[in-house]
Amino acid sequence: MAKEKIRPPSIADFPGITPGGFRFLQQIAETLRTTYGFHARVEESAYNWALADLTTDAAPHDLDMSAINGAKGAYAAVLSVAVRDADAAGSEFIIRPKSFSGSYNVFKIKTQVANVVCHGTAIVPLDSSLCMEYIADNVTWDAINIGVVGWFI
Amino acid sequence: MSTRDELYRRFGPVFLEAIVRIIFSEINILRTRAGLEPRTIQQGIDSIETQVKQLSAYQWMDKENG
Repeated sequence: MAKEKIRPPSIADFPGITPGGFRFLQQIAETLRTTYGFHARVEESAYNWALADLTTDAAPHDLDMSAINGAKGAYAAVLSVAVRDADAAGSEFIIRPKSFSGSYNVFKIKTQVANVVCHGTAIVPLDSSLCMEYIADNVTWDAINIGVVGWFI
Repeated sequence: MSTRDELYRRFGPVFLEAIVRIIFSEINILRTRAGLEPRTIQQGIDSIETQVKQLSAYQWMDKENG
């Protein structure tokens, strides 16, 4: 069945409204449509975080996205994550909200064989400072790369 | 000295190659004692390639959800 086409509202749908009032409603609708939802980041030429930026000691550390101006007000980040450990299978990398202390309903990626990259996509809630946190096993990683794909506002 | 815990965690292509090389060097010790010429690593690679081509995937490998 063909999808029903929804007609944009006209001023006639709002009896008694003034032209200025109708314009105000249109502006609100436009702001809702263009501001809220998923925002894709423009194509980047490098990862946002690489191994050298991260601390791999099995403890939580901040992953701060506040440097990305367009993401102000975002409540969740969409991340592309790649990890590799040249020496080991089973090395684990976690990204989770800052308020969490456990690691059940969080993003996790684990090397399946030594020296082969594992890729994953994460959606992680942000706090009001655009921060989340990561935990990397205390092993000799040879790559952890994180790129920001976009965010939800 | 490596422990069992650390060593087998290195599971992967390089680990597999190391095992093949050990088997080869041990076989070549026996071949030399038996008066046979040693096998080269390239001969080993060719033999493995031949075997791999002859084998088919396991049934469980075809399942999309593993």
